[in-house]
Amino acid sequence: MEAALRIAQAGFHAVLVEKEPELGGTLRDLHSSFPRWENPRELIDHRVGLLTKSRRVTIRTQTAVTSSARQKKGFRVSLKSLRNENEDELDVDAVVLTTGFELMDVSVYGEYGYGIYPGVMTSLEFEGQLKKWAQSTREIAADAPRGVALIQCVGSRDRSKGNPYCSKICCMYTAKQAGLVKDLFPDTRVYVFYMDYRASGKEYEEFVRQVIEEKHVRYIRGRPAKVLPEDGRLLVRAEDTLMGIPVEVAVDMVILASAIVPRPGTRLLAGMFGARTDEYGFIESELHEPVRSADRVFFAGGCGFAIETTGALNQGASAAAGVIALFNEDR
Amino acid sequence: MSRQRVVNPEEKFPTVPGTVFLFRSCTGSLEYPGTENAVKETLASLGIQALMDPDQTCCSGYLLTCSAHKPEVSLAITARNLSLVEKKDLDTYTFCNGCYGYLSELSHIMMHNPAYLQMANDLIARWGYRYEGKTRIYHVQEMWYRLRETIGEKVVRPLSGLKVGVHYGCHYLAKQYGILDDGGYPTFHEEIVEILGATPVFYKERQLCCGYAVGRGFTHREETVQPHLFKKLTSARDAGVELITTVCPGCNVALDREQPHLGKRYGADLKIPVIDLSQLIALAMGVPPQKLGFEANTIPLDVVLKKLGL
Repeated sequence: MEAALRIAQAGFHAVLVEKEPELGGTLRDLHSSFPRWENPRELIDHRVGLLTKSRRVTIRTQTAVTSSARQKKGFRVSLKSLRNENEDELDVDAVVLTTGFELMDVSVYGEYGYGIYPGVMTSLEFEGQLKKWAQSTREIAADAPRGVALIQCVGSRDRSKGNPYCSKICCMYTAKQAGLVKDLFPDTRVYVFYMDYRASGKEYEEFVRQVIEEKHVRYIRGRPAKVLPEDGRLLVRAEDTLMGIPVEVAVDMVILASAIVPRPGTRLLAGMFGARTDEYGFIESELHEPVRSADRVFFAGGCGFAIETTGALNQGASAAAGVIALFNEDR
Repeated sequence: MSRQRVVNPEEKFPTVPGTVFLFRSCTGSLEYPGTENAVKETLASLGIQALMDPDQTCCSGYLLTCSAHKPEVSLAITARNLSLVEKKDLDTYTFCNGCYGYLSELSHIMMHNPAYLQMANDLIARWGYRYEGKTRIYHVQEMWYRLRETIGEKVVRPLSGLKVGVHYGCHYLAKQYGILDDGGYPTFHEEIVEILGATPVFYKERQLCCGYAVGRGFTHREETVQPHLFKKLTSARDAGVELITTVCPGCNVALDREQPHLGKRYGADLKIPVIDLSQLIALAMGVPPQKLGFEANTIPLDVVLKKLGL
C-alpha cells in the first residue's frame, strides 16, 4: 500500500493486486501496536482513504497473479479474479512484491500441546481473542482466563525443529499482548517466558519495562520444557534461569510466539518475475540493493523477512523510490 | 529443520526381515531376563528369527554417561560389538533405549569422523575385529509398531479392562530424527496398548524421564532420585494406572526397584508393577507368564495377572 501510494504521488500509475477481499494484510488482524498502543485499523483506514481517492491507483482486491512474462522493459502479468474466475492481462513496467508473512505450524512442538490442548494457541490467534474481549460489552468477559502464559521463540532460534533465525518482532508484540491482558483483566496472572527480550527500537525498551513494572507482567527467563494438563488447567513447566530454580505455573491459556515464515505462495510469485528466494522462501535482495530482487522487481515488508509495521512502511517507500528512479531513467 | 524428523514405519521397514541380530542388554538380559525372553517369543510369533552372539559385551553407554571412562573406549567397544553383527550381515535390533541411543550416536560419530573410526578399528584389529558401519541400528519397539496389525491378529488373550500407563523413556525419542513419533507428544505405544485390548492412561507425568541415567543406577543419590520418581509414580497412581510399561531395562529398574524405598521415605503405598512393553505383548499373544520372568520384578505382578485371569 505504501509503495503504491508513493508511486502514485510521484505521478505514475500503480495497480494494487490483493488476493483478499480487503487491503491491509496481517495488519487487519491486529488489535493494537507497539510501542504506542495505537489502533492499526486507523493506519489502514488512513492509507486506504488516500489510495481510493488517488486517480493514479487501481485497487484490484480478490485478484491473484497466475503467471507473468518478461517483456522488453517490464512484464505482461496474467491476473485472475477470485470472485468470478475472470482472467485478464496487464502490461506493467515494474513490479513490487509485498506478500507478507505467516506463522510457522507449531504442532511440531508436541511438548507445548498446540492442536492437542484447547487453551494453546498462536500469537496471531490470540490477537483475535484480544479483539473479541475488547469488543465485548460485559464488564469482565465470561471466558476471562485466570492465568495466561506467553512463550517466546517457538520455532525461532531453533536449529533442530524450527528455524535458526530470530523472528525479530515477537518480543515486542508479546509484551504488547501481555500488557493488553492485564489492561482487560487486572487480576489475571500473566507470565512471559523469554530467552532474552529484544527491544531495539525507538521507545521499545521503555515499552517492555512499562509492561513489566507498571502492568505487572511476570517475565521469567527460560524456555519452557512442556505444557501439561491438570485439573482442567494447563501447567507450564520451565526453569527460571536467573534464579536457577525450576518453576511451574498453572494457567488457562498458553500463547506461542510462533516463528515468522514466508507464505508458500511467495516463492511461486517470485519465480514468476525472476526474483530469488532464500532457503526459507523469503525474497532475496540484490547486492547493494536492499529492496530490489531482480531487474524491475522490488519487494517490501514481511515477504523479505520478519519486520514491524514502521519498517514495512519504510521499505515500501524505499521500493517506491526504486520504481520512481527507474521510471525517470526510462523517460 | 531440513532432515526428516518423524518417519512412518513402512518407510523405516519397507520389508520385514526374516532374521535379525538381537543385541543383548546388560541390564535387560541380567536384571530382567524375562524381557529378553519376551522379545524373542514375540519376534518368533511374528516369524522373525533372532540371532545373538555370546562374544557381545555391554554397549558401555551407561558407563560413558557416568564418566567411568573416556569416550574413545566406548567408540572402540561399539565398533567391536557392531563388527560381530556385520560378520553375520544383519541389522542390529536392541530392546533397550540406552543401547539404542548409544549405538546410534557412537556409530554416527565414527561414520562422520574418519579419524575416530580409524582409531577404533586400529584398536579392535588387535583381536581380529573390523567395523565398517554397514549394520543399521533399530529398537524392537519400532518393529512392534510396524507389525502392530499382525500383533493385533495374534492376540489370544485381550487385556480388557487393564489400565496401562506407558513410559517411553528418553533415549529413543531423544534421537529426534528418523524416529516413529514426535518426541514432544508421542502416542504410538498407546496405540499398541489399545491393539492388545488394554486401556491406555495419559497420566500427567507420562513423559517424565525415569532418572536412571541421572544417578539412580550408578551413583544412586537418593535425595535427587526419590522425589523425582515419587512425582512420576504418584501421578500414575492418581490417574488409576494399574501397570506401567517401559522399553528400556534401565527405566524398568528405576521405576520398579525404587518403589519400596519410596514407601519407606514417604509412607506411600506404591505398588504399580512395571514390565517391558514386549512382555505385555507376549502376554496378550498367549505366552505363559512362567516364560516371562516376572519373578525378577520387585513389585509383583500378582494383582495384574489375577485380573487377567492368569
